[in-house]
Amino acid sequence: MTLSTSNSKKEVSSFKRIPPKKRLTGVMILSFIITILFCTGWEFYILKQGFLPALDDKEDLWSINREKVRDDSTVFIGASRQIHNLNLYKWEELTGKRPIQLSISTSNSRLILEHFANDTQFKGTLVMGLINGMYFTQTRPVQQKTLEYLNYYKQFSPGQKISFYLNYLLDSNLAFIEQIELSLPSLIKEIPIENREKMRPYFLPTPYFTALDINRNGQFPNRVLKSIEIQNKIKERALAPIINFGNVVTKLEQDKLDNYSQTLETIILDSKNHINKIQKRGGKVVILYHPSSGDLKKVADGTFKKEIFWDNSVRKFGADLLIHYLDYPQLNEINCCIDESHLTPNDSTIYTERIVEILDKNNLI
Amino acid sequence: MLFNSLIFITVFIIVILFYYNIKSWKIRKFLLLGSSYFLYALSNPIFVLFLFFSTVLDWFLATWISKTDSLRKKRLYVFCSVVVNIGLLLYFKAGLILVNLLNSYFADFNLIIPYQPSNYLIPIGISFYTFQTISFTVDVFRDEIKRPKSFFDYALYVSFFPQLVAGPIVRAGDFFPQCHKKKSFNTQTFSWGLFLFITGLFQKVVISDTILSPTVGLVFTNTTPGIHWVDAWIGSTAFAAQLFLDFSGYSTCAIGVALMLGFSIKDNFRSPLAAIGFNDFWKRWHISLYNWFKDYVFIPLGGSRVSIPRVYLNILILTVLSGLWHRFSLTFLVWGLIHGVLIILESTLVRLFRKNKFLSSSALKIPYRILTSLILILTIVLFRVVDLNQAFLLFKAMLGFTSNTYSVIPSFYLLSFFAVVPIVIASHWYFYNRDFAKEITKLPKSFLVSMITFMLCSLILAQGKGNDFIYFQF
Repeated sequence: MTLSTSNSKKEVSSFKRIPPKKRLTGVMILSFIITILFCTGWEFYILKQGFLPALDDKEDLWSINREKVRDDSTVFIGASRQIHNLNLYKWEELTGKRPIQLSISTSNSRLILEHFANDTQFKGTLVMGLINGMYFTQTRPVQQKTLEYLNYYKQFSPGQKISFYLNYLLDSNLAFIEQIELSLPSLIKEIPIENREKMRPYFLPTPYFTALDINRNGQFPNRVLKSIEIQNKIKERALAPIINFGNVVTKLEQDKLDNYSQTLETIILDSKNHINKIQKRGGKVVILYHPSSGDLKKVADGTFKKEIFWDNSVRKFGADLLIHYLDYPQLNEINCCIDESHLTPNDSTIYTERIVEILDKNNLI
Repeated sequence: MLFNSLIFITVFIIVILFYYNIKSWKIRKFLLLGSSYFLYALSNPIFVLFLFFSTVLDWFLATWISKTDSLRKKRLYVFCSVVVNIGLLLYFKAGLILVNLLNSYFADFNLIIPYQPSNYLIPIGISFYTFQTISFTVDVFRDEIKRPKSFFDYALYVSFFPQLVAGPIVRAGDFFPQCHKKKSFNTQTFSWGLFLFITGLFQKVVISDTILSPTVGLVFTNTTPGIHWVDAWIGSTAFAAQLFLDFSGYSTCAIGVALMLGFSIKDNFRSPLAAIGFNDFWKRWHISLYNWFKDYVFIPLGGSRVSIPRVYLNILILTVLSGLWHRFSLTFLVWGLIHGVLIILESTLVRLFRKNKFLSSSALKIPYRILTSLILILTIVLFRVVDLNQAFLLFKAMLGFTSNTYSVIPSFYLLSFFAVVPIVIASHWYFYNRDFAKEITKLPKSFLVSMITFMLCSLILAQGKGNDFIYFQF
């Protein structure tokens, strides 16, 4: 932590930095050897804990996949349910065409919808996963991540691309390279210590539960599927911000604030315009509402009622097809969900198959 | 180009492997020049054009200056260098603001400039390399240096990759002599350079990005009034430490990388968080920028050899320009003004009480050092806020003028803050008058091994996201 890094204080033009007399070569070599040993040990320990090498959901992986989009591509946008519930490879097997997964966990898809509406080249099919509570809000956190991803993509440099592929070599081979649960920042957040009084709500991140591959096909890692304890932790931590946010919205509704109904109208109008732009170019938009269960379903359905937010709002968007799991028995009967929100890999294969069938019946494939 | 990216580390290893195995010194320098341009182009290939333009322009201007005997012509060439380089800088950093200002002024006359300079495509490092090319031309004009014979040596001076994108601002007089002599591989110099590189990365990735950045983010992205004074002070102190560690981390990496290649770059920081007074602070924080403004603005304006009111005006010009160099905005202008006023106030008090034994005694150094730190933390807020309104809200909170307060920093971040920041401040106090290299020599080897291993393991565990260095945006 320095400070002054040189031992030369004279400000002369023939400046030369002279290294300290102490020989550091042996010290450096020994340090590197111990570090390699530490990393090897850490890797084995992490593998034993059930972690496996997988990619982190970051801006560069999203941008690499965004670059794959062609005029007629099928693109998935939405949040984590869209990632877990739709299996890219099953979809490819059934339709002959692999879709591109551009959903972003803990985000709402409005900005991405707008992004594709403004992409004049795009005339493919947009399959948008929608969660009422996240879609019909103007609050910053749910848009922040999307904004960061979009800005990163706009300035995606050759250096960042090469860096991504170099990182990929490490990420896909080492289990301990995982940012959500195993990095130093996430370990700091797990320090068990009480917060002060009058502390604003701070929500701890959920444990790592989405293992992605290079195409962003995501599923639960085996350690989550096997551990009820981790599943409960995911439920608990995912529910906390939703309950908090639900309270805010309920309060707004009870107070009958005009602002919120204005917000709702603006969102409906914007979404309608964006979808209309895509359709005018020959593109199609399908909106999906994925299943949930348990307390999450109670809170979500209680606060963001289907009649208000789906039947009277989403229907006004003018999309080519709306699929709400409650309206389709073949979707509603699928076992949902170990964490109340996302399907397991096996169930997601069945779910994907049924979604493709519905789209096929409506001539959307 | 980020030091903490795999692409940099990969390219650097390749460069080093070739560099020390090529016999011809000329080809080696060419390798450095090529890799500098390659690494720079990785961020955005178009940016290379601006770098090349600024390089070539000043090369020709310096050539013409050294060839002519006419003082008028020489002055004209220097003027061209300053106008074009500063114009380029203003276009990118202030273009949008100036166009909006002019549009609002001319709106009454129904005149609108139908042009919007892009406000996010700012060539990385432009503030640094334009200052280097200007200083080169001025130094040739002043006859302080001779224009080098080789254009490639000069192009390498402007684009030398360890310091191209975020300084330190190197002077031609320090760099050119180093281009004459072939560098041979020296394990001691190389391992010291590697040690500095690891230390710099540790400062940036582990302490700045991992430990301090989340606390700073929570305080400075909060725009609701009523933040508790403890949170406001902790957020601001964390930001002061973060800014220092981020930039000093970069400078230390740059010094280390250059040293591994056999080149020497001067220090850019000397324990600024332990400064005793504001004159002292300015000589310890971003030294290369302070020296640049001193040599090319303050002294030509008369420096401190003119009447006292003129000296004070010169000080204000130096600090305000230095503020605006960071960003062309009201917050940085106010930051520069406040620092200028503080330096003037301090200089006046020193002049008035020079003969007072008590006031000039060392007993006052500790309280004055603490007072300096507190004011620095208070003013550093202006470096991070979006506008003056947000600064005002934070100042109010820091001075305790808020009611119905709330906290935003969770306890685990408080714990990390208190585990790190006192060590950072204590190390500044310790190294205030000490030499880092000499102090390292005193440590036993076993301690050094533990320290370096700890830094390397923390770097790997931190799994940095490759966040930009804060000074890249300046």
